[in-house]
Amino acid sequence: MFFSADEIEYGSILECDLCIVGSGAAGLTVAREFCGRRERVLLLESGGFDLDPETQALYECEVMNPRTPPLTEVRLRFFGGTTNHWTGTSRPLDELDFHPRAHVASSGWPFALDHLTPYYRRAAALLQIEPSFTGNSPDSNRPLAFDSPWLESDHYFRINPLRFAQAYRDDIASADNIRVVLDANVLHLSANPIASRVETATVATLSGRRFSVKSSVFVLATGGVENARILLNSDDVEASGLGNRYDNVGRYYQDHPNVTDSGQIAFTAYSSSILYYLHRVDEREVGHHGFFWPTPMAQEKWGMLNCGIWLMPIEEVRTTPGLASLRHIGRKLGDGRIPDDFARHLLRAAGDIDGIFATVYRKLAGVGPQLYTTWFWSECAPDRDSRVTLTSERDALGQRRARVDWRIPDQYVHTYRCMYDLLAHELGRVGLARVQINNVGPGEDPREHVASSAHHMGTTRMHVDPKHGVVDANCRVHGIENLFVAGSSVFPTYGQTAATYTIVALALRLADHLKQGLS
Amino acid sequence: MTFTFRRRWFLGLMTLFALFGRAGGARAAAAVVARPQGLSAELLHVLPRSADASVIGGEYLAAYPAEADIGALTRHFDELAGAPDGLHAAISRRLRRDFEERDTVRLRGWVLSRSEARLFAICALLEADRARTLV
Repeated sequence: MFFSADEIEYGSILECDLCIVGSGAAGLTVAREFCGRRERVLLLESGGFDLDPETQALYECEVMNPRTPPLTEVRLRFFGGTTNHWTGTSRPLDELDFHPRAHVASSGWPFALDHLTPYYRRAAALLQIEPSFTGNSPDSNRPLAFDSPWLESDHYFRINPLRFAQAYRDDIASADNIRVVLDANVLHLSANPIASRVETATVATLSGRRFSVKSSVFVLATGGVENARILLNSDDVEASGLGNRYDNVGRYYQDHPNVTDSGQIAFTAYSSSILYYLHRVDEREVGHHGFFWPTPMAQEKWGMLNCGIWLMPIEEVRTTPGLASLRHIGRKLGDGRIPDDFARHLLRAAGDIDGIFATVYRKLAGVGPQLYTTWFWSECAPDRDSRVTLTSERDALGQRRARVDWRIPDQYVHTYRCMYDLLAHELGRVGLARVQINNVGPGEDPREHVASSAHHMGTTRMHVDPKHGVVDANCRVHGIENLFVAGSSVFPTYGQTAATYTIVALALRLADHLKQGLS
Repeated sequence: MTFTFRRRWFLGLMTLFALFGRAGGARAAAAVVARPQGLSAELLHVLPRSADASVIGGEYLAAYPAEADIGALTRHFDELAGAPDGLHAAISRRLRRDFEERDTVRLRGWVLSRSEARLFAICALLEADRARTLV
């Protein structure tokens, strides 16, 4: 059942067994697991069924690192959350991501990959991909053979990205025990006097309506920045914010920095194995993209972070202006919209027929270059000083806005250099290719070329010791018996993998845990 | 760095790969200059003739000016002369060994085996010598 918060009487108190805040990948996954059960579930969503600029503006925050894109551009505040524009890139975390690594400070999860594997399988079903996607590439392109203890090939999947809102709206709507309240913004959580239990959530709408929710269990699932922001804004009992006795809320914020055009690879000869490292789509319309990966032994030996290098055809990066315009028009029309600057792009495309022709011809004729540009993708080491805090500025609902201070530690630069060095020497050793490294000359820093992947992680990190984390191994906020956190904000170490697959697996695991507790 | 410049480098690299790598079919390339002192006929025969190769060689010599001596450079390849499977194969093995032993140099970001960089340097010196002769 869906309804708007504006239909709720001012000052009323809604009661339920489970209150989930946020309807993105994490929140919807937890809610859907409760469909048809006896527990009364309330799912609070800030937006409606479509993008609303005024609601989206609640995301406005201060960013300290110019490489951080505004939240208003990368996150979506309506039913389905950011899955409404998710790209579909899916891969589980690597086994090593779960282990404490001596060369990566504050690394490791409270459990191993094996523990999460059954949930990854369930996540694969929910995301409508196959469990076998955790294995090798099923298509015929095999990776290059370089038989090295230091370097391996692995690959990502890019599925047709599931739009959670469309896929699961009917399931949620038809469940008698689930109520979805749209336009409902949680301002703060009110705890008992000793901050051991959340009593109520205060909810407000942009139209001025205000009410409370009383629940046996609360789950925060509003994303890596907003989860921390709500806890920090919940400061009526503990001045530093809820769950923040050890000053960990908002800290260890990370993203996956990536650098396009970070180098080049010149292959000595054409090989169909090169295709393994290019984005391709198989007969089931599943995308694959192989990459070069440093083995755990290499990472340990050289003190590297988990990372990878991808290939891209040169023309994908240095696309001609006309082709860029043509693609822009195509994307907009594909979305059923006519671009605002349609005439300008059309003229630009018309004026660059030669460039478009050459690129299209190469694709049609299957003439691939032997020179490829590379794309570097890495985790960052957890860093306490990389953090989300609050500013004194307030949003339209009177809540303090977030300040995001994303810091990329020096180990990232070391990893960047090491990985390219490793790739160059391993491919050179077997005579396959020569490698060029960009952005590491005198006075250069690859961090100046970093782009954000808009994966907001770590701000309510998981750790068995409350001194080092915000939530425990069950995603429960340390010291608060009925408050849980879902989403990538609980990741204590981030891996070199897109986050959604793991977010969904963890949400399924949390749902199982909550079912046990509530029953 | 412009695309044109990278393309130039790429062409130079490909020239060397064609000579010593697996591409094959490019053995006919031969230097057209008179053989300088110390350069064996066999080595002269396998060197690339591309101006692009000289660009890379020039970069190496700029980074290691003390090596700007064609006799000294060629002596690095003396032991390869008379290899039973030919100089091409011997040089190819040397380049791979350089990578294995991390005896490499970085020129304009490209990681090259030191031996191949020296071969490019020989090309650059030959090219310079030819230009002087023409003048």
